[in-house]
Amino acid sequence: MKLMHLSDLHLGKRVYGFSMIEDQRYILGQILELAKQEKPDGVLLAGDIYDKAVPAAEAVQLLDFFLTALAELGTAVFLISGNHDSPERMSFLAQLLHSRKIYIAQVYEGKTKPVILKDRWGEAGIYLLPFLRPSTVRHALPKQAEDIQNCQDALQKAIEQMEIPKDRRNVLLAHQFVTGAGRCESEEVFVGGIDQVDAAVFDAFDYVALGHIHSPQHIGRPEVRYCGTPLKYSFSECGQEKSVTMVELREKGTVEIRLVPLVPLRDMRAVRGSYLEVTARSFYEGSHTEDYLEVTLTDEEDVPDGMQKLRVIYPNLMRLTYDNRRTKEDRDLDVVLEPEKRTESELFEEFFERQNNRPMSDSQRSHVQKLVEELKAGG
Amino acid sequence: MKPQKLVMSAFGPYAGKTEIDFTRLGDRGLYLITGDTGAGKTTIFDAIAFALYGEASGEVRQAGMLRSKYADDKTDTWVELTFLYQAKRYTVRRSPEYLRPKERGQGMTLKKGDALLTFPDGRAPVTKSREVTRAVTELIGLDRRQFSQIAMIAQGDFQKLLLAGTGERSEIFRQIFHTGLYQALQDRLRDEARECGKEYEGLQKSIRQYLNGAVCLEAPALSQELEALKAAGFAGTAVRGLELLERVIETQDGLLTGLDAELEKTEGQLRETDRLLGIWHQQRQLSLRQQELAQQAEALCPELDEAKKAYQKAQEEIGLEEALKTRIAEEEERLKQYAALEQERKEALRLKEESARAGRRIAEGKTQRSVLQEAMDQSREELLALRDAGEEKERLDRQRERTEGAAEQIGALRDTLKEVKAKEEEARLRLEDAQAQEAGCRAQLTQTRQQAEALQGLDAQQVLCQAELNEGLERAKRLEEDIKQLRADYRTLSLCQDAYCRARRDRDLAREQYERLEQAFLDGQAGVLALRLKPGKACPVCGSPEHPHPAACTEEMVSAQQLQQKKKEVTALEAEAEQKSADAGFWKRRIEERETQLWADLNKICLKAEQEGDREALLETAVGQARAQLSSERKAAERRLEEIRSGIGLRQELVRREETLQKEMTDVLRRQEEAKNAIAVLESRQADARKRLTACLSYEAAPGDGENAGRAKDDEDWRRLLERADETAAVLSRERQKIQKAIAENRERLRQRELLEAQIQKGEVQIRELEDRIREQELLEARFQEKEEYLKASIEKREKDAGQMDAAAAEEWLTADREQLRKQEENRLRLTGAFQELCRRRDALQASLETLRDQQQNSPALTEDELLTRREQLESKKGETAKRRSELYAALRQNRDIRQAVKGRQDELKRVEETYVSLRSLSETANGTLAGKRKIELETYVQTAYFDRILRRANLRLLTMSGGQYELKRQEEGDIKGKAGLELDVIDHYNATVRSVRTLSGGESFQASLSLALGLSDEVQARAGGIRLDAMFVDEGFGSLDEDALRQAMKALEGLTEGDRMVGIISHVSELKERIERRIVVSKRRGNGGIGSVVALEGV
Repeated sequence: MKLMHLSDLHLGKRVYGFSMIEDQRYILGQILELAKQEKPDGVLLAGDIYDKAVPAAEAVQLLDFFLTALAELGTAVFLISGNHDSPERMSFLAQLLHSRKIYIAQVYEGKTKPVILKDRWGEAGIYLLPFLRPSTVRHALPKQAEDIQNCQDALQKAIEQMEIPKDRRNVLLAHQFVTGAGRCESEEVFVGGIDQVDAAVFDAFDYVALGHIHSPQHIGRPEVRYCGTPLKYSFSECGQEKSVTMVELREKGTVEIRLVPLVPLRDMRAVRGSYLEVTARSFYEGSHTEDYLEVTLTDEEDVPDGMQKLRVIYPNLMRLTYDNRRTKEDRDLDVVLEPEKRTESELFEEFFERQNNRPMSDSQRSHVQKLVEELKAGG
Repeated sequence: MKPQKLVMSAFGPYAGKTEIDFTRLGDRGLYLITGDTGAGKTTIFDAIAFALYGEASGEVRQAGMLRSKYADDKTDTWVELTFLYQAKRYTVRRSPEYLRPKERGQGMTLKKGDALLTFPDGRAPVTKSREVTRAVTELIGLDRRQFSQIAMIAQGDFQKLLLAGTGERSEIFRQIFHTGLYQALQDRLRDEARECGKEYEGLQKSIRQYLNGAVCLEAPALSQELEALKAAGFAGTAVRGLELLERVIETQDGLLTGLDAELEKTEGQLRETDRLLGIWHQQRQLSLRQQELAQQAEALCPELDEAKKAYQKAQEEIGLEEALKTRIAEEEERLKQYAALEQERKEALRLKEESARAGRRIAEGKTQRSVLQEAMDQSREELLALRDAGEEKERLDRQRERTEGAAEQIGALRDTLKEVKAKEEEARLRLEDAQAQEAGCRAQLTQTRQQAEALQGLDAQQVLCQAELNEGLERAKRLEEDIKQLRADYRTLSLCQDAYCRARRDRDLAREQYERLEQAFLDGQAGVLALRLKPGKACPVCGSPEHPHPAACTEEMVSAQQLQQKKKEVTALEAEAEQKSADAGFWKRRIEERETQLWADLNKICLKAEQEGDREALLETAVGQARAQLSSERKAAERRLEEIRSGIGLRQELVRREETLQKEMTDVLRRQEEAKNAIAVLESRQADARKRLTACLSYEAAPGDGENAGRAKDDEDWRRLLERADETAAVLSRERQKIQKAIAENRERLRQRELLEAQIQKGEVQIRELEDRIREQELLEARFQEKEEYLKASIEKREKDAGQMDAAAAEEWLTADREQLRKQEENRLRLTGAFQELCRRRDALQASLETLRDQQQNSPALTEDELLTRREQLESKKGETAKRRSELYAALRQNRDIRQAVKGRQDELKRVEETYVSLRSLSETANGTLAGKRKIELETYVQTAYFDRILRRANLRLLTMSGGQYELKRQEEGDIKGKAGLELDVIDHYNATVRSVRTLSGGESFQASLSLALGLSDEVQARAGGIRLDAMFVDEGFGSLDEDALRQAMKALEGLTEGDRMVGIISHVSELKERIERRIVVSKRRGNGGIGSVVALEGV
């Protein structure tokens, strides 16, 4: 059985004010081509399909297009809602779509029934778990509410409820933050900080298609995997290669994983150098100036109208930062002169010199010192 | 300050009592307060701020507006906040002032505001609004203004933080960074400078005053100028004035000296004139004197003559005096003689007496001597008698020693012997005792051994019994197991049977259905065929060409397929039913097998099993019986086991006893040994003692036995020996006593002898003394007599010389003579003196006259009158000059004083001026009032360092929030009006410009102020000042941010919550609702349950 694992599409996302919808459309087109070639039995979309709970109109249209196209191909599609999606809105008309082999996870009520796929090695159960918060699971399993303090407990209870038969191949789609995952800038940390789940909770599954983390990686076993975003959404992902994960399930116990790289319409890159370097023709000629760029200038002084001028060359310039001595200093808070380390009289002297362009006379200095002592003693 | 619980009653839109438990939201992280417009979101912050400080959170609402308009009149308005500060819980309760209806009567009454702060450590709580506010401010370290700038950013207020002026900022920083010292320093410097200035002024004024007093009439030019300066008030011209004064003083000085000189001259002249006048006067005096003296001299002459005459007479009578003197001398001599005579007589009498006495004494002495002599002779006789006492003593001593020694020895030996005997007896007794014990022990030992042997065989028995018991248990267990299994099988069987029944039912149903269907099918077939029948065409079935009743088509057309399917179903079901029945059969057989097995076992256990009757019941009873049997067997076995165990116990006990007895016996044997040894030793000692005693006794040679006594060994001899010893001892003691007595006597005699000897000696000495004394007295007597003789002679002589006259008469004569002499002498002397006096006087007068004559020499030139007039003139001149001089002098002195004073002041002024200048520069610098410079105060300058730090922290966030575009900066230059130093500018990195913060848009301003507030709270935390901000509240403002900005702002706020902080946000932005899980939802209630708002916690 062949499965294609995608997640974190974030349709409708805006990055530094730029709408990514075009790039998303392009990449989804590429994924469709890939699906036509590979002919998987199922496409797993592991959450964060939209970027907002109430998505933009064009994002909805884009998903509509994508799912319809997949359905036309005849592949089964499995979809769960992530932390950015609204589970109620995602599961609109979910039951009706079953007939077209599109399975969308319902709002979590306690029971999870798997979708059974068959191949020549037997059955495989695909379990769909939407993004779970402890409060969601507490609400669904009121009798066990006291034991559910954090996401770890929530996941454990949810998986217990599934009653998984061990003699069958089982696949899970989940959207959680598993302990040990490496993060990058574009993720949202779960407000509250209790979102960590241990990978051991997934031991009963042959493959766990995870979403939520934007860099492709696996946690512990290679079968517990984040496939990552299809596009780069932050400059910390510049060095990554984005891909789609192809999973082959043979008989129970054999899982083969393969990565297929994706090429975006406009790459997200970081460029660094002084203003003159960066605006030199030799530098940018031949490169993709349409890419989304973050330019880091090393000039000591801010370049006047820097943004404007650079946008002429790089129209999709997202961000301009400076990396010079001043910013380095700014980051280093301890460089600040500590006022405490100098005495009051010294401070006054300094101030005096600045204001009067001449130093204090000795009598003035001694007078000031005397006063300071008096005041300190409570005079 | 972290809020734990908030309870509001009739506060804002909350009509009744509303409680919010913040602890349910966790102790760190973000939470959202959201709800309908006007539901009461900001009121929650208001409540917190009100509870702490007595005022609402923003500037918009006043405390008097806080009472809920929906509340019942009877419900009181109050807020109670429980918060944690530095891990301790405090509770503040406060109620505002408001009007409420009177309890009795009409109208409203004012209910006063009140507050109460309770401490966690049981201190007395603080009451009264102001006190509580003060206590809270002290506790938290921030007052309301600062709290609202740092910890609670109220609706519409965030701009304020950004746009605040230096003055306000400075105040806040002063509180937080404790820069009050600098402000105090500023104030002090200002005050000092002012003081100094006043002093300076004062000095100047006084100098002016002094200079005003300068007077100069003499030098018109100078005086004019001086007057001019005075008019001008010596402004700045004090130095010139002093100069002038100097010059004036100079001139005046000069004049004064001039005047002085004149005065001198006049004085001189005056003196001259006086002198001349004096001379005249003198002359006159002299002549008068002369006349006087001459008169006197004349008067004196006659007197003189008289005196001379008298004197001469007196001189003549000196001779008489002489005669008188000699007579007196004679008489004196005679008196002396009389006295000597008397004395001698007395002496003679004395001597007589003395000699008589001496004679008496001699006689006495002699008698004494003779007495003594007699006594001594007697003593000597006695002494002879006692001569031999000494030798006796020695002999007696020796005897005594010997007897004593013997007695001691015997005594000692006897005692030893007795002792030893006694000990021997004792030892023998012990031996007997020990032997008896031994016998006893042995008997006991044999007994115990026998008993132990009797109990030998118990071990083997125990093992057997145990084995039996185990077997019994095994059997019982097996039985139980079988029974259980059987029962289970029964159950399974029944299940199978049920399944079978069901399967059969299904099958039958299916069969039925199939048949029906078949029929239908066939019918249908018929119908199909019937359709195709045409009159005249042969029927395929029967061949008839006529079709009177063709079959009708059935409604349902059953297809062959369907039939097939059904058949398949039926066969399947049949198979199933078979299967089930087979199962049932299988189980049944299994049960039967088990039963037979069980019966076999039961029979083995108890042989009384019945075979007829209901199998189940039988089984039960049999099982019961078997169980009973097994248990009784088991119990019997257990009892036996017990017995055996006790028997074993007893045997062990006996073994132990045997051991102890063994030990005892060894002990006893040992003691026997010891006793025997002791006896042997004692016997040897006895023998020894006996030998010695006999030796002793034989030495004594007492009357009675001879040598045989020494060798006796039995008791009779013992007794005799001891008797003899006693006898001897008694004899010895008697002897000793005798000797003692003799010794005593002897001693006595010896003593007596010594006494006598001493006496004799003493007597001899006394006699000698007496003799000496007698001799002495005799000598004395002789001497007295001699003297007597001599005196007698002398007296006789004197009597002869003295004649008849007696002393008294002689004295009278003497005194009379003496008187006379004296008178005469006096007279003479007097006369002499008078004469001489007069002579002298006469001489003196003469001399004076001489001198006077000499003096009458010089007469001055001018006449007296002339001189007098001249004198007058001079006098007046002098008076004038003197007056002028004194005036001038006074003026000069005054001027001098002024100059002194001014000079002194001048010095002081200079000093003060220096200080003033330096202080003023310090003060102006410190207070920012330097001309032409920006008004930066010292405190502000110090605070800029802190401000920079805050800005740095703020910029970290602002850069992130604005995507690297904006940064806050402290204004370096600006206008000079107004206080400066803590103003803000913003740097735009995208086009490298610096502009005022007021140019930021609404959303950008919010970002900037949020960053600033976070930076400030960060810096405050980083100080060790103790102000801990565990909670922050942000009221709205997020509505002005777009998605990206909102995301960044959220990130910044989330970053805050590291390290235990709670940040509460009020917002209606839906994005935030999605993103933040923990929410306090405030909603308005309408209709049911009254009006007002309610609070619900979600996501916890």
